[in-house]
Amino acid sequence: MLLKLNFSFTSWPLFLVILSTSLLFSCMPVPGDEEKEDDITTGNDCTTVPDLFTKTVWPSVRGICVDCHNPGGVANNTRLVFSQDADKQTENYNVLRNFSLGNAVTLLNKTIGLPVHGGGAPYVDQSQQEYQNLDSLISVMERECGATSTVSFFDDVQFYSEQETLKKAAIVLAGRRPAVSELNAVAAGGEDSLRVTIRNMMQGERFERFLSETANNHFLSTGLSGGANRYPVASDYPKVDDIANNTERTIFRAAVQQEPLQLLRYIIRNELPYTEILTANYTVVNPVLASIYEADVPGGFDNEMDNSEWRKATIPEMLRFGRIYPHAGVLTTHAWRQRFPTTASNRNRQRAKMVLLQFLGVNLEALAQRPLVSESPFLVPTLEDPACTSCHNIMDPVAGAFQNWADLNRYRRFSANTTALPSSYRGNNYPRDADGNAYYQRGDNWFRDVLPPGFNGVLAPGGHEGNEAALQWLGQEMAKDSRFSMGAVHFWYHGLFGEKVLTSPGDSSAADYQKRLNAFNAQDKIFREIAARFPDDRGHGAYNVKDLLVDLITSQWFRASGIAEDVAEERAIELEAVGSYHLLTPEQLSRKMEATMGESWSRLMPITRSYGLLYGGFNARNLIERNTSITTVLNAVLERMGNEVGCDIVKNDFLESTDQRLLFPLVELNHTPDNARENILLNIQYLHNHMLGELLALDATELLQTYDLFQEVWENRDIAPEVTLRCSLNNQNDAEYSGRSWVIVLLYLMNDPRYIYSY
Amino acid sequence: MKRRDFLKLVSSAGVCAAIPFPLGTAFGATYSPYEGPIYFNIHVSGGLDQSTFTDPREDSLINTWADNQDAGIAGNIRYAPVPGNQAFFDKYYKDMLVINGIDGETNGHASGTVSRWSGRLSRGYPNTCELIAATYGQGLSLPYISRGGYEAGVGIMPYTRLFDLNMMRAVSLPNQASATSNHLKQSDLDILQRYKQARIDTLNNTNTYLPALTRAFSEVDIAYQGRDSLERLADYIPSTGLDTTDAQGNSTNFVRNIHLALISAQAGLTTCVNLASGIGFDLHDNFDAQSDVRMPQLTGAIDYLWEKSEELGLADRLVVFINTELGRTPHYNANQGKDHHRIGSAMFMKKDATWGNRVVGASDERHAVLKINPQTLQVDENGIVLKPKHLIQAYRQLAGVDQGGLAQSYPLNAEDVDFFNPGKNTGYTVNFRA
Repeated sequence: MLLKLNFSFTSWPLFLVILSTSLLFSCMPVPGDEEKEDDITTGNDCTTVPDLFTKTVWPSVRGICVDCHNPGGVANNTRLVFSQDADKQTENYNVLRNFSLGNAVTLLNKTIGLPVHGGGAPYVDQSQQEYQNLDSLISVMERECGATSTVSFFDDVQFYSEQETLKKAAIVLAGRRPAVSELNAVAAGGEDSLRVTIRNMMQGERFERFLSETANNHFLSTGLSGGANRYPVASDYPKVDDIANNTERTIFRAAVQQEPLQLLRYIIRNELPYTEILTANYTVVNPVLASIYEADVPGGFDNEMDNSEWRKATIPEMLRFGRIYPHAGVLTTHAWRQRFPTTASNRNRQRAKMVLLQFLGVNLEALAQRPLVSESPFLVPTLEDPACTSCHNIMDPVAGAFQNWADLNRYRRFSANTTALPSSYRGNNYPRDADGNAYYQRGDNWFRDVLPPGFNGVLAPGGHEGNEAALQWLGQEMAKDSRFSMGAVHFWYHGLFGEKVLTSPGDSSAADYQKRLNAFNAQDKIFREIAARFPDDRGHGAYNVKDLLVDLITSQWFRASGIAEDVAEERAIELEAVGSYHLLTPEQLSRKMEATMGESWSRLMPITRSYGLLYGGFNARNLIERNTSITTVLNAVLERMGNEVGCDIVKNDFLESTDQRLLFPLVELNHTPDNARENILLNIQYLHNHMLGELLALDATELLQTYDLFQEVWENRDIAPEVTLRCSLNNQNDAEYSGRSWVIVLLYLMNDPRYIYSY
Repeated sequence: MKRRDFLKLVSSAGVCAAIPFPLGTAFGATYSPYEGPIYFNIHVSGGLDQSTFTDPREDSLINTWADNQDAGIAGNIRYAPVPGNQAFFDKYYKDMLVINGIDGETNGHASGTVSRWSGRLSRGYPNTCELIAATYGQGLSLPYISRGGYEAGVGIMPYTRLFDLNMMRAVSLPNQASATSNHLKQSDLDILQRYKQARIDTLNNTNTYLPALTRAFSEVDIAYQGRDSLERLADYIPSTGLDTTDAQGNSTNFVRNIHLALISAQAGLTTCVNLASGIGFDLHDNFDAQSDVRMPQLTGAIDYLWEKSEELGLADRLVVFINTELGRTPHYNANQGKDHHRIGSAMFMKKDATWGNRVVGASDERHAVLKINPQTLQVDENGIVLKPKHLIQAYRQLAGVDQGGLAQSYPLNAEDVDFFNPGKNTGYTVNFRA
């Protein structure tokens, strides 16, 4: 027998307050005994208490937290229970310390209400003094009692110098090597100059391609495919009917796919606040989109025939509803929503999940790891069952903000264009509420058996009756949320580091739990520091993505280059994700090849076809996770690549004047092991540095091994090939066979893991 | 993980004799095709309803078919009387070990996938395919093939995705420019490969690189080991292209992907395949109508797998593991769909398995979990709840990768459950009409 929810649905505000204080608390995962044992550090209690606790933090904690977190309080079943006795200050310090040693992030997050906290958000957000005091105290508590020195997470890690960091940044951001002047500036100006120089690289088409690729990893907009109903339709945009043929249709669809990416590029290129990714009351269009949307493009286009030109624009009116299009950054681009479609039963929840993940770094799935019950006795489980509400309380109000976009991604397409609610819900066959009444009421635009639209416990204007600008409201609210900055860090981290951020390990009984938690905490600490600076105007405006990218690139996490000595396996677990090493994507590898060798392999791009798809494993459509590991097949792709382009690259470099060569500035084609051993060695030394970032002495084993390779191939020169060869170097233009020997050396370095896994 | 450490772990597993390509053998050694068991993971995408498969309930609140149909029975195995099931279970029940009442401990797709395929909720544990491939697939070019499902690796054996057959042919011969020409002199490339291997050996023995880079070295090293065998693939690519339709006439990409994977297995290049069905079962609305279409597609594809394996001479070596990330609720929602449920089922299949025609684990009338005695396999309130860790432990045992260094690096800490004892059976605790 299902239980029924027995109160009126008109009392939503009160309902939400009740919900937030009672159901949320009961929804908090209750740790089992094993968790209590594993998460609390004991046996090393301190006998002295730092002043920071006594004079600063404890007065705040005592006044705000202890009311609940005491043996008789409502939080007495949590892992943080203090004594109310004034003489127990040392004991209370140790309670706080022992909890924070394994749960520092949880402790801090709870004070600002994240992800859910029965006590609300007493410290409001990270900018508040109380929060920062507690954060500082945690750093103190991490040390041994009374110790004055600290053990840093990075103590045994080596780092790239400013110049080495600049080289990597140049590959990532500009697809080139740094100019000599840039290297000299950094050598002279140190860290400050490094930041400025990196920033100055953030311009041009290669930088913007990096922006698009990063965004597309999340938005997946270029993977939009399918029939006409997956794209804007003539019923909404009459100009769609003007599309005359498949060629024009292809151009139009490509523009739709590009719109969210180009919007992001526009915001960053113009150094606008990144919050506009959710709040922009405009979009960007190229000539074909401008035509289809009948958009207002202030200033027009320089060239109406150039679809690579994108301009800021607004859509003044949509056919069916006679109002200005409610632009809300990427959220109101067709492609963003279409890649995360909804259905009558999904009710925009997928979109809610994605918007929270992409822009606040909130992973809803992580909240569902340990549900309390296996079967729901409730009439509306997503409203009433704690097993469900841990996610749905957060997800459903956000889903409500997408209320105007029905399935098929069209604005209020039902009932004479007044609602997006499906007929199955509005019809007479839909189940009734506890009182036997229909949920749907005429004029509604959101489901009444779902929490009303809102965010962070704040109701959106319009409630269930609807709000034509609900997404605009959501965008504004999310941009104000303190997690927005951290969400941005997570977003851009993926583009730079080639993988997702670490997540806090969930299984406290796992043998590697503490080490993984240490790694998570170390990375999170860096991110929080970067996120804290993101809203600041550091001379180029607040929420400036270029500043954030500089912060990430100059961080210890990015600049880590090696370790001082062999580390134990446990320490290796902690350091697993440190550094920027990752299998370069086809796009990144192509740019690196252009930067280091002057050209790339045409068959590696585009990434949606042929070898690019095989190597990258990503097409944004049905393959949405990039390959992160080399395999035999991928290695074979690299071999084919080298075999096809090696000769041309070497030949073309030697055709340049010495001072223009990227690869062979120190040798000529007539230099052989017999007559120019020293030159060859010097050039190999140069190549190891240029290609792999390795600084080797001339007598280093690895360098001599490369020389031996050159020499052995050269000595093999008289062996006739088995079949005809396609190599553009031959006995006519490479009489000494040095060029072809250099081809083999080039392939040796190109296929090296330090080339394919590193900027 | 560094390669030298990996070699220690594999050696400690006592499985070196099973490896077709001697560990650490110098470049140029003769390659032998893999002839051992082929493990085939099928990830049923979206959360397969246990009540529509191997744990049916004759309760119309749970299954509308119960209004006028009884659950089917094939040997000791019950199944839901939905399209495709009878033929499937009648044909294969003797080869099946059904596992019911698995508590996945989550209602989320992503976490459920991690949990059901790695044995624990936290990330960081391998798919058993990776362990299998790492243990038996050294020197093979495609030891671990994957497309969908749980693909997060731990760096001991990366997977390869399979795509286009023509491209596979092209990469298997990377120096070939045309039928009569190469790009470079092959003897020069042979010299190059020797130096590349030496370089990797040096890097692998250097202690000052970050773990991310040492993992890269290991992956490259493993990739090199499979080079020579890749050429074989071209010989097994059928001139008629790939099958896309099963015997019942269902046309799915799943059938195509199965065929593609079997080609690699037939070439002796593959030890384990990990495929997502692509046929989705996350049916939150109109469950019955959609399930009636998708269930026969699923069972038809699995039938195709066995029939094609038989045709290619692989059926005797095949071990199939059918798993999913979630179960589904024991009731319909307001949209006639079924929502997420943490209790679900899985299945092992092997031709003529001595452990076939059996059911281990159970759930009650409402698909709540029941505890079982891990030794007697009988329902026992003092027993244990079957969890993914038990399931994956069983898989590791079946594949012979449960002992030794690799397994110890990823301990499941699961109680021993006598899954494969032919004399023991949990069966069903609920009553059936027939």
